[in-house]
Amino acid sequence: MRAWVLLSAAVVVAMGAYTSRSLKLTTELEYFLPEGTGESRLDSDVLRSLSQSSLSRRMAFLVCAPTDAQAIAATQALQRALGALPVDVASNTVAGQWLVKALFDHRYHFASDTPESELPELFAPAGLMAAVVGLKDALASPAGALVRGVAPRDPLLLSQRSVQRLSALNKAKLRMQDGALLAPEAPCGVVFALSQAAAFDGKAQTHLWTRIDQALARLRLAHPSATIRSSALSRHAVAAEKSMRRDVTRVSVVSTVAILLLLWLTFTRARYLALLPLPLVAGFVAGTFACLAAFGRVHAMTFAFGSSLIGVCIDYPIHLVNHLVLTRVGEKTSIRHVLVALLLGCVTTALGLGGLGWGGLPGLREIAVFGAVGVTAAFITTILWLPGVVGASTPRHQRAAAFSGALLTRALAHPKANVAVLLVTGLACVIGLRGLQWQDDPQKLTVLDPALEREDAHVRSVALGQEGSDFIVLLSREDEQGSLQANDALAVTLLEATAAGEVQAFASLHNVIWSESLQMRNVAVAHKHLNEKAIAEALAAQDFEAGAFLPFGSDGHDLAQPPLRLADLPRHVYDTFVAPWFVHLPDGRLGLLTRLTNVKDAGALARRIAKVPGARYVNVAQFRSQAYAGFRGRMVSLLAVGLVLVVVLLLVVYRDWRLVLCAFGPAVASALFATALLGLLGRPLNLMHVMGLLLVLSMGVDYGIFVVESMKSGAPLAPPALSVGMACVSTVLSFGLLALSSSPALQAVGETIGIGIVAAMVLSVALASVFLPHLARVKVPS
Amino acid sequence: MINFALRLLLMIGTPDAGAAATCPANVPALLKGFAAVTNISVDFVEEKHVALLKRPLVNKGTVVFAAPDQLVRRVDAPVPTAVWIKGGSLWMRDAHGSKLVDVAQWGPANVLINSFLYVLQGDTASLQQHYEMSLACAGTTWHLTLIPRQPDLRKVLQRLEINGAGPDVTQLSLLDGNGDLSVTRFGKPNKAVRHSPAQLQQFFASPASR
Repeated sequence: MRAWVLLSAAVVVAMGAYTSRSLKLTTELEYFLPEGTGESRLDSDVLRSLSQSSLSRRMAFLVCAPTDAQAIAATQALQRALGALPVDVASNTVAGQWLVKALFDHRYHFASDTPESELPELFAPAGLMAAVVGLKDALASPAGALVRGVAPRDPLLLSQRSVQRLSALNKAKLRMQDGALLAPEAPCGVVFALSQAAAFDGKAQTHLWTRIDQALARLRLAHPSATIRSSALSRHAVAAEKSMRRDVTRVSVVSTVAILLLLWLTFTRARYLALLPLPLVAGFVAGTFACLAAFGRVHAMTFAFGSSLIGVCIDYPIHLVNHLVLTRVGEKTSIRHVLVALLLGCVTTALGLGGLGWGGLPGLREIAVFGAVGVTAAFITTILWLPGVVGASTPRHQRAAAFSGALLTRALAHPKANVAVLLVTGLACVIGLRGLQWQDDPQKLTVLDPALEREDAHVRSVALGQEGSDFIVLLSREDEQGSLQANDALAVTLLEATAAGEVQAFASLHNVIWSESLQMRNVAVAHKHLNEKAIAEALAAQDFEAGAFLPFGSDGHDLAQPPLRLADLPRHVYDTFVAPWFVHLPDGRLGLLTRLTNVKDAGALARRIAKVPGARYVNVAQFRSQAYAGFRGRMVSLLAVGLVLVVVLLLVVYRDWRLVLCAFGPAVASALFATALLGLLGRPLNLMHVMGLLLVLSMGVDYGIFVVESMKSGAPLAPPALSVGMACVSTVLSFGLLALSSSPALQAVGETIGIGIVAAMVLSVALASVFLPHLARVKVPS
Repeated sequence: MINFALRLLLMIGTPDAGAAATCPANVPALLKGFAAVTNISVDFVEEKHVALLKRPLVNKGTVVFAAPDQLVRRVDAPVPTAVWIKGGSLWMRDAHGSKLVDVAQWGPANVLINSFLYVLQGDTASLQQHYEMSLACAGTTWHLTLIPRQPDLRKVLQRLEINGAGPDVTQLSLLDGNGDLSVTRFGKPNKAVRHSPAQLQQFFASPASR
């Protein structure tokens, strides 16, 4: 036995050493993204890719001052300050100028989305005449100087098409002045940057934002008239992580202190304060180790939830120590039924937690692994480490046990009152469950700092313009050219959708560059239909000096240009204008994004998009809600399956339905009661409530099992009564305190378990009171 | 665009009537008179002699200025268009609608637009930073010439000439860097007119409303 103790201690120490060296904490949103199956898995993969794309790493800063000059000076200073940090400051101006020139040189290549149908008409005499009249009007217009500059080489103003497509990407109508982007309506400069680290790399982002905040503080000193605001997903992630850390610390500290106080008041020996938490420590270390081994990192939410979960394992040492201390003399044989009770409790809890792993949500799988391994480790270390160090009981401990035993005996002695308790519970369930409401928006599971959210929304509206949550993702196993070709076809479809009023506008890589094949189709049509003489005649007819124009048709140099390829773009142009449109899916496929603005007829648009091979219409918000509703349904199914497994396990062990009912009934009834009570209180339930119910079921079964095992063993009721009472209080202290968390997810778990576990204790007594007199006479196989 | 910008630069301010009975003593005196003007509305006819065309393009319209930094130039014929300068922003309207213009596309246009403010503020020093200025007088008529100092600006604008009589600007001639010449003649200014921001917006957006 001693060897097993040493071996288990060595294993825990080794796991602890590995964990402290390799711990990687994250706050990734994908923790909450369901994985799905088949088609829905693809959508999940797309969302996952979006959450890791450059879109998620984008940062925008808004620098406002009383005058343009002050705003520009502060904006330039911010650009310099950010340049010293691990972020890539966007060079839109330089990149944009390069691109405009390249597109001008390739104006024939980028003339039309549908060159075969549009260009012959444009190059016909009537089309040329209309274009030349347009040139004349443009020369007379306020933009005449700009047109005048390009007209000798581009009398048909084909280059304006590329310029308009690029301008459409600047939805916020930002303008450039003295090297700074300025907002249109106010003296505010805008700086865009990409963080080099992933938005949800907690450690890197916390470090980065600390440095950014320091830089901003220096900037505010140097430019006191400027106000600097920012928008970045990573900023929310950092704030969320800080908030979660605060929650975890608060809940852990309060629950630890409260539980230690409970232990001290009961056992009155210092050694138990040190010994009883040891299985918890072992469980926590083992759970963290298992998560690191299985997933390579641990999410902050797993820590928050898992810490409380392992805290529940304090029940095991409490049960064992209570039994050993209070029935030590001449009762050694009775330890067997306690171990059976603990083992059954551990197995049913691990089964319940393990069920979470099949829910298809990465976060729950992590918690399942953390919880199942942690609970098992806590159980093993409890039965290995504690029996050898238990001492004699103290008078206060005995008084507490006697009081608990008397209380339980008295409660059991009133079956009619307990029938009434069961009836009231049933009535509450019938009424409460009818008015149940579900909240499936996963964004409601996390709460953002309202001030931060307002600031973020303001900066986004000024710097980025209207941005919806509708995307089309074009999936392709092709190379970049294959993707571009598909993207060209998609753009034509979306132009039709725009004309049909299904969507107001769209933006994609098509605004920037086209596939080589579409470019060459344009050039081929131009070669065939562009007639230099016909253009000269049209110009002459509108009083133009034909000699003032350079050769532009088949004799011109630009028509002979090779197509503009992605490989031709300088790195800064590629990074600024091309890379943000690509996402990389886990299966190696490339996804090309199209952003939709103001979708007016989602159904018609989805039907139209369905005809484009590889194109998927994704409304991020809607998909998440649908996915979570589906996931919640699966969770309820898992609950049912888990219950069946637990019932089968109990039937195998007890072979009597009344024993099973007393062991299992409190858990089910308390879960239903907790749900109903939340319904009666008007609280919409979310996925985390369902998860809390699963835990109520797992832990509630423990109470029933302890009571049943105690009753059928014929042993004194005092130790199990004290144990169940302490277990209930410690669970409420560890889980119930989560209800005070600022995170709605933790709050949901806390309130469900807080209500459920108290109900489980009350109902385990009530059911035992009603059924135990009969069960006591049953001959139970050992 | 540059023609237009420079034309506005000097057109929007006309010396105070009381101070302009004689030729201004020097450029600062002339600009000081412009700075005193807070509101003005004036019709114009513009002839653009573009080397690409055999005959000049002719535009007719109205310019409205409201201190301190709002300026709308509206062409009513032959093709309705409008430009609105609000602070440092430049909005344009044509048959396709209105849009904010990225003035960086015009290279040194920022200098020109800021120059408007220099004139409105009577900021002789800033104008002298960007232009060589000379003033000639004959009786009550005067002739102001501005030649850009910066090579970049000179590439798009060779020379700007403003003719005036007493307190009013009568003609603006602008010689582009490419040799195109724009000549704008102004009617009698209305300095009593007042435009609220909403009226300016309407004036900019609605060519037929006047």
